[in-house]
Amino acid sequence: MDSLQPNLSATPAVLTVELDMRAVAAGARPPAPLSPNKAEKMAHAIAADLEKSWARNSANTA
Amino acid sequence: MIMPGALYDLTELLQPGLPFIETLLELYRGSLPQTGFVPQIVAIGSETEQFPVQALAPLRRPGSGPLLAIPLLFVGQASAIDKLQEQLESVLLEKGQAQLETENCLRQDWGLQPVNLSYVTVNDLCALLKIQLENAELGKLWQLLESALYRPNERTRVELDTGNIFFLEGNQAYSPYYTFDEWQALHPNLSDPTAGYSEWTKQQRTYFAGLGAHGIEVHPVAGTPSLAGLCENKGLDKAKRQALSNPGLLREPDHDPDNLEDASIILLTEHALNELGPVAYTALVQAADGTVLHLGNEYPLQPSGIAMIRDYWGAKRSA
Repeated sequence: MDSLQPNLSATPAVLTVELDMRAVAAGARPPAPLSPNKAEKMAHAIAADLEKSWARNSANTA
Repeated sequence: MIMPGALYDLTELLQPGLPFIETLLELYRGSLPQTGFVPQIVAIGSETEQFPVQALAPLRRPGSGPLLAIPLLFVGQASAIDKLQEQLESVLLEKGQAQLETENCLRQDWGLQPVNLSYVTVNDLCALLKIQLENAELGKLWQLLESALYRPNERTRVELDTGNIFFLEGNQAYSPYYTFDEWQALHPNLSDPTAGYSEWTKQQRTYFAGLGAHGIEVHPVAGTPSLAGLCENKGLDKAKRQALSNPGLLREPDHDPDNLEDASIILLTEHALNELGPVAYTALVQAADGTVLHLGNEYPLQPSGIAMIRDYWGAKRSA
């Protein structure tokens, strides 16, 4: 990825949210963006998930 | 890490050049102190329905899904990111399930009842999209999207079994659009040309909509001279020259009707097919003595083309 400044780089990932097909077929609209506080709470929950996932992987490969 | 507190349809994220990455990168860069890089978690939220970063504003189209996504961008020292990238590729698709706290956030703060929550890489996401499209018998749409996402400098030509032809270069697609007569001339031995044209039109609309949803600009191209049989290079060059000046509308004959000052009767007949709605309009203009001043067919190439045709002739009628 593009370098931000010397020695800095970036890579993306995605959290996929699979919805019930019935809600989609009924024409439901995705919810509005979260408030800054709630977005931050979710970001920390996601970061904790990924840390756990990598820790498990490191333990398994060690 | 930086992420928006918003949900997106896959079409909004998987666009040529993956622009969400650059936008998140810019925001992260802007959040850094003068002293340089500091690891931090940056979340972008909004107190109103208006998202603070327009380039990341979710479209929230009704019926989006069933797979929605929250993009994440990890920023760090190049060596750490290289290692992380390898980990993401090897770990996420197999073991990247979200835990209870994240699921609770989604349920409580968004009121969603997710069937599944998984962390994936962008490559994994593309693989999921490929499967979705192939299951919907749109494998060739995936061929075009794959080219736009992974090989933007290459030229691609795709032809469907129904004869629809698409040329692609970067985020620009070109496709010949035939009138019924042109299409029939290309398929003289069909027993039911209306059914054949209906199927061709259906595919054309599906591909136009699919490409457009992924941020690819679609240019309808005059069907004659024919582009059939031309390779991606010669075909694309010719298609660019034949691109219609009005992408919403194909006129036969291909110019504005003139000499309508003496018009007394304007008759607009809609030709619609059950599955597709309006496919074409025939405009007949006569003078008071019955002289035909204009007779032409007009094809809406986008939903907006229908209103364009009706408004144009409505204005002529009331002039």
